[in-house]
Amino acid sequence: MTSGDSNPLVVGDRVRATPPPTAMVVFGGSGDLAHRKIVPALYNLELHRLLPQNFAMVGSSRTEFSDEEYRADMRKAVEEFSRTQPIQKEVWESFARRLHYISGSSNDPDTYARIGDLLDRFDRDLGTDGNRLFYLSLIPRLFPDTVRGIGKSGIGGRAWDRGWSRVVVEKPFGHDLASARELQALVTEVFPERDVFRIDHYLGKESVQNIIAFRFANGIFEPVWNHRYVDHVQVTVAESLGIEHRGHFYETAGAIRDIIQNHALQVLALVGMEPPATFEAEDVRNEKAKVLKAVRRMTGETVDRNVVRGQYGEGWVDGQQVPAYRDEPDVAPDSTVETYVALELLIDNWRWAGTPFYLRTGKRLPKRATEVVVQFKAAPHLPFGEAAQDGLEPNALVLRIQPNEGITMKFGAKVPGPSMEVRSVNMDFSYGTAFADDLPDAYERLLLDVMVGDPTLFPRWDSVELAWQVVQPILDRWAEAPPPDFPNYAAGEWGPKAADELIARHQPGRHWRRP
Amino acid sequence: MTETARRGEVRGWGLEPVALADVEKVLERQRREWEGDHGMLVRASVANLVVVCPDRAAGQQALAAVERLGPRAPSRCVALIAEPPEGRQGVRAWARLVQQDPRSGPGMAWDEVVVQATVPPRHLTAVVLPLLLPELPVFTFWWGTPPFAHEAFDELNSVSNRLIVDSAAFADPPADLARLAKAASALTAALSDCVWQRLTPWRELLAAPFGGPPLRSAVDRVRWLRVDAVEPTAGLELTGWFASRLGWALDRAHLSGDDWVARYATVRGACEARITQALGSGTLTRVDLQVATDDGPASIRVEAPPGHLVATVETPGHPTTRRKVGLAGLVSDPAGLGAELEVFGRERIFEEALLQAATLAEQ
Repeated sequence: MTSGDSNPLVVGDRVRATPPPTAMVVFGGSGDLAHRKIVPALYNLELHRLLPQNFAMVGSSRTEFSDEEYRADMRKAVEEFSRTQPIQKEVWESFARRLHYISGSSNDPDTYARIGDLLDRFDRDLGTDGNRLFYLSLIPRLFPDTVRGIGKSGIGGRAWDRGWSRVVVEKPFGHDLASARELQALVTEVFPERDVFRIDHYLGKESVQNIIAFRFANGIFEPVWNHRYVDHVQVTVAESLGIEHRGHFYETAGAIRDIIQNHALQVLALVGMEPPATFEAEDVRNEKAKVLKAVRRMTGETVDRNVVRGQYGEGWVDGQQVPAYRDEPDVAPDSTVETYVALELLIDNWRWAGTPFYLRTGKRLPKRATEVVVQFKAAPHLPFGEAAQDGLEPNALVLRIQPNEGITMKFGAKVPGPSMEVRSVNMDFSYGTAFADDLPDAYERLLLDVMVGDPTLFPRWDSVELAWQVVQPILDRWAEAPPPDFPNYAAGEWGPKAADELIARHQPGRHWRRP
Repeated sequence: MTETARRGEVRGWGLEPVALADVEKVLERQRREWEGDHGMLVRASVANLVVVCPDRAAGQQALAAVERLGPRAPSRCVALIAEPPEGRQGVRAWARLVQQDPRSGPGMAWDEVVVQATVPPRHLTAVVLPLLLPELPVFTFWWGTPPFAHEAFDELNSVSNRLIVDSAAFADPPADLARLAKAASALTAALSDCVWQRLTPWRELLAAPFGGPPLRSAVDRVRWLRVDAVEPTAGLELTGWFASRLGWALDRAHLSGDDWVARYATVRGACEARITQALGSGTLTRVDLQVATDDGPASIRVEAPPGHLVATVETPGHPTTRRKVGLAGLVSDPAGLGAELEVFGRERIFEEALLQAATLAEQ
């Protein structure tokens, strides 16, 4: 429920309902995510008049900061990472007065006691109304102590009855299926599922939300959005960057945990799901879960056939020579961690039976691009003669998620001239040409949603568990059989050759779209 | 033809004289010439925007204002200089393709057509209709005071989906606002006022404190409202908004010098309102509300120092909260016209506020 529901001044108008009064605690408040995303997002919400009037935030981590030092540190972060520049001095100063800091360890009860005292003061002095948002911006091994600390200290969780209390958990949600279940048990011991918001920032992107709008706001696509007309679907999450000083993290994650288990499978669910009855959170989440449940699970040998892994060697990206993964800082020189994955998934349901979904992601690919390609089947009969239709490919619909957000439709057209020659042309739609390009950052949207209690864009536990069930057999197989050929693609290439063979093996003409 | 650097982020061709029937042909040629020199352009259009201007000077001002909107709401813009049909009748037209500076985003172009029409009002629609892009909504923006009782007003509105005015530019703002409210009842097109958009951040800040304690339960106990208005119609519309949303009925009102002084009967008592003429460059300079709470009077104040807004809330038994927020939205679209092009349907909230504002303006 939003505050606007009971406020006659914001009903049905351009005046946007702001969330109810909120006190927010960011565990890991001095960390990278707080600097890059969380605090810049809060500042931009304030700049755009979207934070509640009664709002305060406390950052907490081991680093020693006074409130003033923390504010100064965050100011630098906002100056560097805010999407709106330059920062507005007056707005920042007013906003910064509501930022506070408590240093302490996650296993020290005194940390939670001091946070609790401060939150009580916010309620009393700033009218935050007992509403508490706990953001776990932490490395996973600190989750258990922190969640338990919140519960034991009574500053939030199931027993909290002076307002709402919600917890935001950053990905990765678990390291594998077993650890995800353990984490879920732990989190739901303290917070009920309805108050758990698992962030997958991809779902906060305007262009990802537009997949739903595109599919269900238009009548002409849904009739052909099935196995009868769609040859296959591709989901590509390509990055030109390497691991960017995150060697420690990446060595324990790899591409499949970092991207496929969450972002790529969430996008697959949006592309593959049935139309929800409403855009209510549970209707949307139910449909997404059904798709993930229908993804055919692999077993040992089918993993070998259906999944390709890769690791980049040295090469050139964006005109710069870059080192091999194994030469990156904090990476083992004989690391077998994958920086590239391509896989074929089948969805065993009425709509998608027999239509493969190809997912791929990789580091150090030639360019950064996230997109979905819906490749349609060829027309059943082409009457133009072989030479005349040389340049003609089947229709394809490309949903570009980033960068250059938009939609491309490929279709056949006659080449001007006296003969009937046809070839494929692209019809492009770019968001930048139809809507204001002042798009909010995904974290702005998601933080607002947590404050108003709308979980639509947050993966529910069953979806997370189902995604791990898809990925776990792959992890198990890879644990048994280390890769023999790493590195198997050079930085700056579109992945290993085996990925091209994977997509072409059932039908020679199939190929990855070059973004 | 020479490419001329234009101010800001937009560059474009000079306007090229063209026969009305050749407008599309000339725009297409300009596009091909540009692409030949610079590469692929996306010709983008989300709407038709017809700007009706009383004379050439206003036409130039209108084009300058519209040009800034291009990247945000690329539209076919038709600036219609509807001159009185005295003397020699006829239609002259000019056209140009406008490109967004490639450094500002994807290669994107939109087009502008200027038409100087000296024709009987009943034929103005016939001049405009062939220039509209098919199927896209038609927004008609009247520069200055629309000729409410004039045939041209009815004619052009009959082909519009949305009629936009800027009541701050009316010749006699309060009186014309009242005339607008009367005309609105007969309109089939949706109606909006750029002033209403410029009030949005003010309304957001004034509404926000009622979303949480301790003022949530006091929203129907506003006792005193003072609006310092640079644009008089903004003061009237803001007061009209409170009255319509909170169910106030105008009890009595009078002019005291330049100020409107009014008393409203509210659901739980009465509210005194005063709209004061203020000096400044914005829409409003300050709004004060006094609200009765169980613990005594509370106050909400919103002020507009340069570049931002400050909202101060004082409630008995609670520390004063003072919040500074940005004017985001109005920075790139100071007139509010761009935002109006993103609204399609009728706005019941605005129409109800307008009626209340008109009731006060007529006092």
